[in-house]
Amino acid sequence: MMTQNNEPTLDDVLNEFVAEYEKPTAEALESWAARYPQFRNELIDFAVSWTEQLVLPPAPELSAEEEKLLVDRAMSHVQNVVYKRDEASAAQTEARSISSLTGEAKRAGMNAQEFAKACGLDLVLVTKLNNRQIRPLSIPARLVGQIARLVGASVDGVSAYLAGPPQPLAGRSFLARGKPQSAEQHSFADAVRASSLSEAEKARWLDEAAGLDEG
Amino acid sequence: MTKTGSSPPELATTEAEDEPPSVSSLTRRGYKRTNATRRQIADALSLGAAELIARAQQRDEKAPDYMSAEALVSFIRRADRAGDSKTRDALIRELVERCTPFFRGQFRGCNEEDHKDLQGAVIATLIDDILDPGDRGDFMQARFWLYLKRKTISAWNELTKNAADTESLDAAVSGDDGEEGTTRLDLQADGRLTLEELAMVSDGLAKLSLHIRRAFILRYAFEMKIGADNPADDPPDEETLARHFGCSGRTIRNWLKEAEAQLAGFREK
Repeated sequence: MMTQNNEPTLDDVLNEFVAEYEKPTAEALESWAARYPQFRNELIDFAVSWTEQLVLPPAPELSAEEEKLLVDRAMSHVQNVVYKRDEASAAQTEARSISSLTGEAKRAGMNAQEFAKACGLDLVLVTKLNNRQIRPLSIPARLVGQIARLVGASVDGVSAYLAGPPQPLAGRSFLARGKPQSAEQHSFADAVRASSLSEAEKARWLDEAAGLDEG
Repeated sequence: MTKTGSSPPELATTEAEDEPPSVSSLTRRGYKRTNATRRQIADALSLGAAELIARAQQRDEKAPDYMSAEALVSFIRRADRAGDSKTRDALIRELVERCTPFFRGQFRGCNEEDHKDLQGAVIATLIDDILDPGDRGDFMQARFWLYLKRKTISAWNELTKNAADTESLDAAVSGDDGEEGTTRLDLQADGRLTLEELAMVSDGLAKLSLHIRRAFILRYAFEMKIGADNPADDPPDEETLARHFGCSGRTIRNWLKEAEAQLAGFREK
């Protein structure tokens, strides 16, 4: 049974109209126009169009080449949609570049432990990512996408953060006599092997990281 | 047609079960996936990208690893959210290719160019809805083929609307302004034309001016009243052809006479 959380849009109403009736009839139209008087004219026009689509002469068939061309055009449309969306997203996130992954997670309502779990990682792995101790080219794209989704940032934004220079190790570094040294970077696969993840989890990540930069 | 109060829809999507925890629920208007779709999604959740794509390309509905269009949409959205463009694009291509046979036989009344344009427009809308970050695409995850049918009708509706905008309602129609006579087509006992009867004069309908054809269908398939010569005289809660088309009842009567005359000729053939 449908529930009605919000006022339905015209799109919702037309979808449900077609789902409710096998074909357009006077009774169906009257019933739905009465139920959604705000869309009465649109329903009338749609019902006539539906009728026309059942009774008018068939359209000329497209050739196999024409059909294939339409599929190819669809794939171009996908790239356009994604490009526009990424551009809009980049413009939105440009104003706030990521200064730390755990900071972004906190802003999104997760502590480091929760963030690690949501990523399917352990705390050490998240810390290494946060400190950019993992070579960026070795990190699976799915993980980057997952992080972006979790913290509400763009994939490009997360990638840019991970591609930054490794951060100096925290902790007792204030006791060091010399200048702080950048932490060494490892491959994602090595970091996974050294992690506390279960063998199954490790295997899954290693599978995804296979073929990426192993160093 | 009269207005009454609105009530919630009682359309069911045939499913009563809740989504298993591993499958994210739909959020729009209580739409639910079918049991089969939920099973297909749950079964494929742990697959790697290559295995998932291979499974998606199984088009034999009877095969145990078949994945429905609804399940495909779910995985396309998952890949898109994860930034996995390779999987997303492979699954979208598979879905669009599956749609191609559906489009054969659609877009009735179109010439070849309009057919191509409308098919392209419907596919573009489909992609926009799939990649929308909100829940606009939830209906297609519950009833994909109904979604596509609906979008196809709407695409035709848009085309006719644009054509109607350029077609003058005052196009000269011969005939007097007498009372509406009985149609020369064979009407059923209740005076309504069925879809089958309309289909018998398909070629004639295609040749009518757009507004005349639509008025004819509304009058004889949906029994909409003609309305007064001055539409303002009609009861405010009653939809009439005159009000719908924004002209006088007299004009509508002339349109109907014109339609009947032309269609009677086709019927005689």
